[in-house]
Amino acid sequence: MRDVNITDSPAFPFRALVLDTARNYFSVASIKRTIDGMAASKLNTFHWHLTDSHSFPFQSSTYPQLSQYGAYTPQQIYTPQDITSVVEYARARGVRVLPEFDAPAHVGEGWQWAGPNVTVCVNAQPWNKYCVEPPCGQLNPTNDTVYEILGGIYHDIFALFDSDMFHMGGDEVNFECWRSSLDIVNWMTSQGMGQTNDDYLQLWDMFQKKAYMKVVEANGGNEIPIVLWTSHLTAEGAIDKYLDNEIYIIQIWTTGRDAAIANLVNKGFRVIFSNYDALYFDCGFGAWVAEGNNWCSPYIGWHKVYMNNPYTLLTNLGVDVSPGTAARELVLGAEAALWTEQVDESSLDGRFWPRAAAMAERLWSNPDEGWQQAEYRMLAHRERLVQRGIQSEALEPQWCYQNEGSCPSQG
Amino acid sequence: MKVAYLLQVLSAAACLCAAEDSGPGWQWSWACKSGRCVKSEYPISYASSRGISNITRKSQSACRLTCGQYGALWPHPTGPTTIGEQVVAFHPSIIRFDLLEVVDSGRGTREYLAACTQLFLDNLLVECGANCSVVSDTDVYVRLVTRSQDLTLNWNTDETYTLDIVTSSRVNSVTVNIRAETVYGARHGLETLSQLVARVPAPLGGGGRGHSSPRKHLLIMATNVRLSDAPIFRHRGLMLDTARNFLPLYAMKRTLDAMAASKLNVLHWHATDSQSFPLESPRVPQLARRRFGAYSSRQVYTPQDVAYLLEYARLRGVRIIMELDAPSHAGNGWQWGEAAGLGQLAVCVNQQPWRKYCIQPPCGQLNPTNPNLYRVLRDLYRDILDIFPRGEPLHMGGDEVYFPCWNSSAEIVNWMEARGQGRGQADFLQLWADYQSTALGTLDEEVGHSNTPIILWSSHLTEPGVIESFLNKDRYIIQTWVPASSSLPVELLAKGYRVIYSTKDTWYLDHGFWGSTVYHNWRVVYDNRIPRKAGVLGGEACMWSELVDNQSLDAKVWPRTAAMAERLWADPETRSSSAEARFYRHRQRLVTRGIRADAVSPAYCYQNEGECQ
Repeated sequence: MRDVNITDSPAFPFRALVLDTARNYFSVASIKRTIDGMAASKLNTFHWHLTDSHSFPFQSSTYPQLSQYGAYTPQQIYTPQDITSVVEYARARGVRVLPEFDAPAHVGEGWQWAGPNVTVCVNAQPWNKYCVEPPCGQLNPTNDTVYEILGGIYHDIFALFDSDMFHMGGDEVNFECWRSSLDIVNWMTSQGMGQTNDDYLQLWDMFQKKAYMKVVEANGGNEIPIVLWTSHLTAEGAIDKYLDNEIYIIQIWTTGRDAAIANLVNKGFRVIFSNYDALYFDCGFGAWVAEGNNWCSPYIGWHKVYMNNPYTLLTNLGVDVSPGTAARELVLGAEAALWTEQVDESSLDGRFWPRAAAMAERLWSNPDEGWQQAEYRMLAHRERLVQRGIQSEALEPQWCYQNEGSCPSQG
Repeated sequence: MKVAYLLQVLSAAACLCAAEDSGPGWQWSWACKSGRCVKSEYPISYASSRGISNITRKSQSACRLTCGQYGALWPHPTGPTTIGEQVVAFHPSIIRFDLLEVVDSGRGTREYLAACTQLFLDNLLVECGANCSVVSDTDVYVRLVTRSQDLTLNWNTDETYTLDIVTSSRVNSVTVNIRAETVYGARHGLETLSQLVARVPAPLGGGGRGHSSPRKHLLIMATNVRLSDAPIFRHRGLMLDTARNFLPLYAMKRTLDAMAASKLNVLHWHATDSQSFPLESPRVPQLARRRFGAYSSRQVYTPQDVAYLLEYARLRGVRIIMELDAPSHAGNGWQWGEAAGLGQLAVCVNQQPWRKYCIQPPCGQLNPTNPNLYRVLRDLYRDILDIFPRGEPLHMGGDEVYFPCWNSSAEIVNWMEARGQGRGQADFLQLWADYQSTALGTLDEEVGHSNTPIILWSSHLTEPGVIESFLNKDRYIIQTWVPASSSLPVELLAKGYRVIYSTKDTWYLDHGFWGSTVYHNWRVVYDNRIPRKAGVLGGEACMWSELVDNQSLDAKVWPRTAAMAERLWADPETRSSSAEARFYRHRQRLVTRGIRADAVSPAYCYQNEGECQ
């Protein structure tokens, strides 16, 4: 091909994937392969959900016990060398690695050594009273040791990653879990607090502020933008009371039609879209704790992923995001999520690809045309990914790829 | 005491290994409590090499191996089963096989089993991994005993076997006795034996150093075992569609490996469809290569490929049943008729708008009014008969004939009119039935008799009200794909037809990714019971491949098809929740053997049995 002249630039600055390496472990090689796919599709942020209640594969230099107790097996860990290797690999491919240390919920395995009352309701049963999926576990925000340990963890993370933001999680805090701890209840009483949900929200905010101070410490005394998942803490009425919109970026995982999203933007918060009805790539498989299929089923086809436009979602919620508005600048982009309760290396590639590439075009080009116009290139891009060693799902019978336009599907 | 003996063996093993005096390491341990492997509350520290703790004894895989009624077996045996907790460390290279009691007067039974033992050893070596510790003072002696010399693999093959493992008075000697009627039963016995083996961390210090220093492992075998086993259903199958998307040979081989591991015994090969015709026919080269019925010249199955797969499958206890779907689902590959002077062999091929002429693009249906069609079919059948064992069934498809397609062909409509037929449903149904009987007659002429079992999909032609007037119950087996709530299978059985179940709302593996279909998770697959009646041959999971090729085949098919495998082998009274630990273990086993089986739970649930319910 000759005489080609292209001018190009992305519509959204934040074009990401999140991989959960705690529900199931993923080798460094598989993470690098994912980054290869990202590079091929011009995605630029790999959000690494490092730990959760199920396992703690991150090897902390300050507290080696965390992965000793928390990793599934001694081999299924990420050493400092592993992480440095991934960060460098990604950088060379135009991808920044955004680390997430989820807290105060989503903790459990790995903390067993830390002493009494550092964590509460770990593996408590019946689990559905204390968390959204087993095993349960939350940090005790009233225990100073927690912040000491967090400080060490943040220090280790900042030494290895060099991201311009940090993800503190803040996902699905369960107040019943905290209420079940006498230690916490007594502390709250001693502070003149009640036992209502509002009091626990306040407690959560206290945790968030103290933990953030530890983050700043770890970052050499400098503030840094923090990403948090949408939650009760980011709900209308709570968020402006507790969170500073100069610091906090909110990652939306509720449906794209959630009115709370409009509130976030109207209150001046930067947002990242991971609305589960279009961008949760784990949906559509069997439930693993119950009968039936998993909670966000059915499976999301590439058409739906492709058509998920953050500006459209906001416009539909009554927010003006036309060019020139302040609101438009607050929409950083979107992120496809792969929660890995039912994924490991055997099917990692198929879960992400080629659907992530559909999102990639939405975020880079933000086209006016629909998926029908993208179909041929999508099929070709899938073959490209396969050639590069990524085991992407097939989208159609090969006949359709060979006979363009003859198989318009219904999605 | 057994434990002391084990420690003795293990310390001997340690001495043989390059011992390193590394620092203390950490390891979780598991103990079997009421049939459940329970993880310790805290990891156990173990000192370095010489001081062997029972760390190896307490590893998770060691626990699961002998915990509960069926340990790590999948599918579980149907006869009385005892698995004691005694184990011994061993290395595959010291196993000796005794085939002298395999009755063989030149028919090849011993050769077959010798090849099986090789596969068995390969599976053990892969289970142990690259750093497999040598244990040289344990003798393992596997004695295979079979009575029949019949190598036929069909619905009447006796697949039963018994297996017992004992240690002799000489304490480091283990004898395994596998007794079966046929070599296929003995093969199943070897498969089970491979599941009575587990990989455990070798008693070396310093395993907790991460992946820079590779872990050494060794194999242990359960040594106090007695079981007998026989499958409930004789047809335990998987259907692969290689026409919507082509599947390379290595993908089919991998699938056969996983079928062998799960004791499935039929690969139903849906080789052709309207999208492509990859089956190379020497007598009719236009079908695949010459007129590109195939997607490309590389994406074909030559007769050598097919013969190779037949042998590959047979060695794994699997027979292959070929399907040539017709008269519908036939398009690409059949367009050359007119150019060759044979007239239209098929109509509405690739016609648009497709919704007018078929249910799924591209369209295409054979032209039953063209006598040359049957000439071509004769040659095609001949090619297949040349490769397949004598007497093997043929699946003739008969899926989703779409009458508007035939109705749109002037040639067909004129032909029917000339015979005084109308253009209504009943007329086209008769045309279809006539096609079927003519095609069958053609096949029977090539075979030389009329005893070949024929399989057809359930359809309008097989409706209880009309089937008897069209299809002979002694010839035709019906593969039903109706949902579990449908009474069709039972009605067909009542009429004396044999049935194969492919319940679409449990065993259709493609569901959940298109239209309004729902994904059938492994529990749904497992819990689907089919009746144990005389005419029920068994069942099949179906992997339609519109959205699947080699990139995600394994994840779509496994481990869900293995869930069906236990349902069809053992037909347990219990539900999937009781089978969880063994099922997770089997999934891991498939991954170890190179199958990219999907994950079904966080690894946490596998390590903490029963905690995720």
